[in-house]
Formats: sequence, structure tokens, C-alpha cells
Amino acid sequence: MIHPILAVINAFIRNHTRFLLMGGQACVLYGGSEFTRDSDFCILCNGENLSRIAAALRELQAQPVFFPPLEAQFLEKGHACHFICKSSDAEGFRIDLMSKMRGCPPFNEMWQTRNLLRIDSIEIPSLSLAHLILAKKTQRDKDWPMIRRLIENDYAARKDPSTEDIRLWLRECRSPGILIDMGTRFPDLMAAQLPARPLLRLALSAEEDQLNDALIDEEKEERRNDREYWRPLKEELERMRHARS
Amino acid sequence: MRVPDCLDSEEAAWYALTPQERFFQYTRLLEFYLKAGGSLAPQRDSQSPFDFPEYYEQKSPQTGNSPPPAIAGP
Repeated sequence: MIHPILAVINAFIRNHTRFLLMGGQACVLYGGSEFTRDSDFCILCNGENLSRIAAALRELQAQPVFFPPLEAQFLEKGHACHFICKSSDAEGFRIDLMSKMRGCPPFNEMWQTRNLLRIDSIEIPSLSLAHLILAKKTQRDKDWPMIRRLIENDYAARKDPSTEDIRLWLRECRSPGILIDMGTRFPDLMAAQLPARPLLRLALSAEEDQLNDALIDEEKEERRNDREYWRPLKEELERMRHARS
Repeated sequence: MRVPDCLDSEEAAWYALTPQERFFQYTRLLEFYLKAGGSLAPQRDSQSPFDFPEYYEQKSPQTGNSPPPAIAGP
């Protein structure tokens, strides 16, 4: 049995599309998750790439689900386009496509820092860990434990971290114990990060309870920002629904 | 804090795998899930921006059951 995600990725590669794996599949690769039932991709939004994506979707006999249609005008606003595959090698498998995510840089910048995973004979480009975490800062409960776990795993695994690794942890770590640990291991880098993330001062002073509260407040603010970001997009989706009914 | 404290043994074992090994294990898990009758339909998520009834349907509100249209450039 060829795995549905490989069938989808093979179709994207055969058609020379420019895409980045993200969402649950990327979390599996980074060790933050064990299972997911669908696939999410960030795609370059230009006419040529969208034509190639459409060709891949036709190979997969993918049908659009819900709204909006796969058009640059919607992708550029931040909408997601949803499909369900009907081909025998990926039947029932869902595909979500986006080009712009809140808090993430433009596609070409994310492409420059992509990770390549070789599975059999194919190379799968995926979002870097840093960009995957930015994309996971949503309004949903389920994404936040994932962010915490992705960083915990990365922190535990890297015995000789680069400065860039440490800066990522300092920006994104959501575990009070690890932040306090980092305060003793990397005090100078943490102090330098204070203007961008003031709660780190609580890690430097090892005030765990207050740090935990500050992390909760930080999450609440991001989730509030994500709801605000999606408000006009959801209103547009509502208008599409009503226009059709 | 010692580094291993942040992971339980199951998580540590999972993370100790290479990305390729994790991907292989994931494919086996999905294969089992499908053989056991598991569904690929998305679970209802009231916090999702796409939490509209049509999103969870298995047919297209845009084009019925026809394949996706050719895409026009931006």
C-alpha cells in the first residue's frame, strides 16, 4: 500500500509544484506528534505554480471541499483551500492548501530555510521548525501543547546547540522548567532576548509560578490575535456560503 | 532541570527516532487505523476557523462532484 501522503506528495513533485509540508505531518517529522489524518501544505502563490497544483489535484481526483475556490485572490488574503482525494491511492485523504499564515514570513523566505526529508526516492520539503511553530500559534487548544512538545523535544535532543537553536528556544519555549534551565545555561542570550520577550526575566529569577502565569497570558494574547486575524476571513466565508444558498 | 526530565520515556523513544523512522511508523499506524475502520473525515473542532457544516462534508459545495477547475493566474 502506498501511503496517501506519499501519493499526494508524489503528485505534487511530478507536476513540479513548489510546496512546503506543514501541519500535523510536519509535526510527525519533528517528533511532536505521532498521528494525523490529513495533510497541510503551504504553496507558492503565483499563476504558474497554481496551474501545476491544479494539475496535481486532477491526478489525485481531488475535489474541493467547502470554500473558497483555489484562486490567488483568496490565498493571498490568508484563506485555506480544502480538497478531498478520490484517486485509489489517496481515497478520502484531505488536503489543505495555504499560501499565507498569520505571523509567518512570505513563502519564499520560508522556502530558503526549508528542511528536506528523504523518504525512499523522494525529497519532501517541509517548513523549518521555527516557521512550523509560528504557523501553529492559532486560536485552537490543540496547537499549544504541540508547540510546547516540539520545543521540548528539540531542547532535549540537541547536545551542542547553535546560537540560532538557542534563540529559537528562547523565543518559543513554553515550559517553565526549561526556561529556568536555560536561564542558568545561557544567561547572556536570554538577557539579550528580554526586550522581545519580557517574561524571560521571570526565568532569569527562577520565579516558576509567575513564569507559568505569564506563559498562559502570552498564549491568550496570541489566540486572541488569531481570532481577530480570522474574523474578516470567516465573514468572507459566510458570504460565500450565503451566496451559494 | 536535567534535560531528560522534560520527556517521559515514550516521548523520548519517539523523538530518538530519525524523521524517516517516525514517518515509517506513522504510515504503519495510519494503515492499521484504516484497516480497523478509522475515518479520514476531519473531527469537529469548534475552535477551527473552518468550523462550518460544509467543511465536514465529503462532497463539494463549489462544483458538485466535478474535478477542480483549471486555475487562472493571479
